[in-house]
Amino acid sequence: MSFAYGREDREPTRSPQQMQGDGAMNQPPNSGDLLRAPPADAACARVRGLLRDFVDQDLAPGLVREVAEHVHGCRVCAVELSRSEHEVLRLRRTFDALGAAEAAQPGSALPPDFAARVVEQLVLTEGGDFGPQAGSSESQSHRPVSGQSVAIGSAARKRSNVFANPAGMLIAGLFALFALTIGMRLFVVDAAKPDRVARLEIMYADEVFGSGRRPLAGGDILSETQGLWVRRGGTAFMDWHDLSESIQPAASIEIRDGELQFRDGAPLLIGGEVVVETNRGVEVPMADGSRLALGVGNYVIAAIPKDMFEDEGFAPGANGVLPGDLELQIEVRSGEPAVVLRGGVAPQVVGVGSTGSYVGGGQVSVVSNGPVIAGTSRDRVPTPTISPEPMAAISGNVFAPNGQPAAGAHVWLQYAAASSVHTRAKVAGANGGFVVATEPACESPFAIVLSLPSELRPDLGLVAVDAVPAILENGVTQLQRPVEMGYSTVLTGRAVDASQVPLQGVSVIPCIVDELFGSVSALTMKQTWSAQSGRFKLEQLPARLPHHQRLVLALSHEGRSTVIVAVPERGGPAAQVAEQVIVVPSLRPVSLHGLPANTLVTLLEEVAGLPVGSAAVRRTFTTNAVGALPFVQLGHGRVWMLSNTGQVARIAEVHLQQVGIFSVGYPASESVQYEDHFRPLQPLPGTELKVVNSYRHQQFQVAPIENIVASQLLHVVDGYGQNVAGAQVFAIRQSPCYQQPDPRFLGFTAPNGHLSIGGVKVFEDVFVIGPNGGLAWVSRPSAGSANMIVTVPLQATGRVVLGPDLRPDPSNVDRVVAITFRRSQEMLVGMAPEAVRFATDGHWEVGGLPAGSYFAEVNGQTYPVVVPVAGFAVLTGQ
Amino acid sequence: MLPVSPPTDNELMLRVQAGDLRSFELLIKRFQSVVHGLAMSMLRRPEDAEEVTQDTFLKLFRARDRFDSQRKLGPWLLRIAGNTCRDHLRRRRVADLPTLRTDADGRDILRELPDRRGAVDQLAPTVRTELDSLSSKVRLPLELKYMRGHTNREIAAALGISVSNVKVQLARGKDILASRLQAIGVSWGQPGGGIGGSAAGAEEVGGDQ
Repeated sequence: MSFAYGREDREPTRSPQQMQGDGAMNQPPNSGDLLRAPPADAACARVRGLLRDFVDQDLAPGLVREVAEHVHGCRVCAVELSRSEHEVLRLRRTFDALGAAEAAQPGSALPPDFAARVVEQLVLTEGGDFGPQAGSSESQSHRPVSGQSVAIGSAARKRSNVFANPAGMLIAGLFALFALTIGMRLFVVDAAKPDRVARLEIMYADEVFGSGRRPLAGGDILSETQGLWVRRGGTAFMDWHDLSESIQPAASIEIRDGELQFRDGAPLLIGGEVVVETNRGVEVPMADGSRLALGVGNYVIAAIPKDMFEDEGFAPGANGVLPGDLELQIEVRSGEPAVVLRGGVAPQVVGVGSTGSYVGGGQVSVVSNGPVIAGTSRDRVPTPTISPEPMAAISGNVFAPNGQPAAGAHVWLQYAAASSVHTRAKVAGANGGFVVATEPACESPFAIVLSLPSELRPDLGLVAVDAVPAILENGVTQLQRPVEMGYSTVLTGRAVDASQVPLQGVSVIPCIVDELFGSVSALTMKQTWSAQSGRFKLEQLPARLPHHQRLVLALSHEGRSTVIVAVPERGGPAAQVAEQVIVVPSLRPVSLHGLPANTLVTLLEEVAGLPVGSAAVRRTFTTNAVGALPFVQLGHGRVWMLSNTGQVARIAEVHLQQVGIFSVGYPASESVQYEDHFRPLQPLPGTELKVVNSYRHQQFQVAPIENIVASQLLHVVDGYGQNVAGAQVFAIRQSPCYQQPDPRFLGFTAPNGHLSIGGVKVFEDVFVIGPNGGLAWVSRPSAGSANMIVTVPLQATGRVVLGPDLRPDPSNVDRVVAITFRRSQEMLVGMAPEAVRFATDGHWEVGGLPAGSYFAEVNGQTYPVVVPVAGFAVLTGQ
Repeated sequence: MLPVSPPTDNELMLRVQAGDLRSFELLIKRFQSVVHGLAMSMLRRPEDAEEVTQDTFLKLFRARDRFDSQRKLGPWLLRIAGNTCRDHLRRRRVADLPTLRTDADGRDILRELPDRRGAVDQLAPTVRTELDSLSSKVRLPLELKYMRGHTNREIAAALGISVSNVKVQLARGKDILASRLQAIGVSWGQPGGGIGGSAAGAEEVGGDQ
């Protein structure tokens, strides 16, 4: 008996769409495997011949389906598929190590300026004729590479004849002289040719950095798409060589605070200011699409980011913010005037001794600078300042952890004004400062702030959403503390299936989980996807998080179960965890019966690792004629069935029982209202996952509320009776289900520990989070009398030490232990039931846990532990 | 940071055809690691790989007018790179190429690398030993596919063979490895399970051709 192993040409009924893309034969199976486990029939034999290409993802979709369906019903072929998967897995691992070894070898990488060197080699060897080739390409492709001349063919033979007589020698001498002259001219031309490579040559650099925060120095060259930023107090001088055959360099440029990129052969100012000394007329592009035509002279150009959005919501990733909306200023210090060129707008001239300012296509406002005074450009170019006219604005600063300004950082602000919430966005200037115009004026004594570092600063981490106190003075609201960015730690991981085979295209979205209020905030702006090797890399993750918040990664892939992975705190003792290998398992086959016939059924799968009711994957199926779903694929979380009875959406939990495959009858359990369990969920882009996508401060008091308690004063003290300033106070709606708190931010306590809580509704409780993470809860302050001071002692959070018996073996390389704490009794209102902490070598103590009884899960085992109000508890398995 | 979509490979190549050196430099930056990786796999000497990478791009520039903008640049470039490597090998007449496993002092650099994968990957050095003993005809398709991430079509272009031949060599390489590892008692196809069967007749003598 002989079978055709995956040979498509032996399957006459195959449609062209089923054919493999390359039309080639498939990888033959291992002959030993065929002898050991012979195919049962022709279908098995055919599939066996496709397995290796199936694993390599080299099959057409039709064949992939065919293999998948066959393997599902054929255990022998499923085992063989598993063998093929392991075969490739081992190969990939081996080659991964080989690649690492190759990279570690000295000289194994190309020099950084390799591309520039090749181009220079071309310039020197090709004589500068880079236009379309006139001659035959074949002959040119055999031109010598190294630049030395080679005599070939008939030309060489003719030369030997010329040298055969004296007259010939004279002619040859003259020819040689002529050739030498021509050669020298060619040499001169060739020597000048490198100038035709557009570049910025750095003459001097102090506190200047390129991409990847690489310090730049004199002699470095910026070529196409490369950029630099200058730290405050730093300077860079550079020469700009463009593609013109005129005088080079075209201009000399000085940049102090600011950032520029070299784009399309010209410097593009992103932010800050530059002094340009031109040697001839040049055109300089601006980031907003306009151009400045400069003559011969001395110019100062400043780019000042403007407000970008007006109430477009608090979702920076979705909006794809770009700092293209700039206020541009051009000052002509000496020489010829400058001309502002913009599409659809008449050119406008800025003369010597004047400064022109414009935004987008608006009028160029030109003002005279008066007599020219010697000084730096900083003295002369107007810096972004608040207008002398009273103007509603919020101002603040963004700093890197070393105290230097975080130039180019994106800042989003929310504030309350005129009975509503407003959102504004701004890019911090070169000095890290930002001023956001707000009309009407901010009325809340705080602003809600989120900040992302500039793309040129992968070393910085984004600042998660938090409230920042603010003071209103003369219509300008000043944030009381700067936005401080921390250093970012690069997080790498590898997504694999249950057989450890790398998975490509897995969506990875970092999310912030609030352990107090159970919310999930997805950082969709940092979404990434795994590569072919399954690897992914995330940068600029939050360097620090507010108390009781933690970072998780949500991994999603079509046809697979969504996985949530807790990530050690950035900058914490466990941050240096090695590359995480994350298994993204396949869906499980499930059979459901006892359902209405021919009906659309919606199933909601909860996602383990996120707070209850905060996330779900929604899947819909249609039942068959006997009211069954004989074969559907579901994830591994808790499953609910959705039903719409009348106006109210209700859900019933589906309890799956494993009898062969999971199966269930209907109705599975008593139903509850959808809103009693799930909060409003929003889809995450490119995934099947929906999350509540909210943050702790999403709601805050914007206006007097009806049905409020008469004014009361909250007085927050610590365990020693000392006033606590800067504690965050929330009102929480009492809910039938404590797992779904609905917090509303009321504000910060003053230096005397006081905060008026006049805006609390009669059915709300009050929750206080101290600046050090301490917690307090006041039940129904409305029960007290008006005008009374309610003193609230903050309860310190407790600590737990991981006992020696639960610590990993000292020989284990990965010495990081994740501990999941689940409360075993009802605690404070608003407390989510789960907290995750990481302990690692030398740091076996974890903290930030509200006092109470917990079950702690370590390495799959669960142990009880009581977290005390003061001191610490030892978590032990004994 | 700016709303500028980068030009495609073919757009850049069209600009190069018009003599734009800046676009050529961009193209080099885009493809230099791919070409260099191929050269490292084929030549196994960093200094030779760099030289061939440079020659490849010079050849690409000189042959720019032959570029068909209806087709992808990558496979064509890899074909040029593969030809350049083979030319180089012919000149070098290699008989005993040094493997990447040893450095100048003969130390096994792979063994000295920190291995974070723990016990799961204990067999990797053994597999590497066997891989290194394969002929380049069998080793290169495996290496280009599973280390460099090339598609079968790209491998075929670079090695100057058909896609079917690539697949045959891939399967052959896997079979030979399975056979050799079985001979030394190492499981290959499935951890903890039986070994893949003997690849009768698939054995071949190591060393480059």
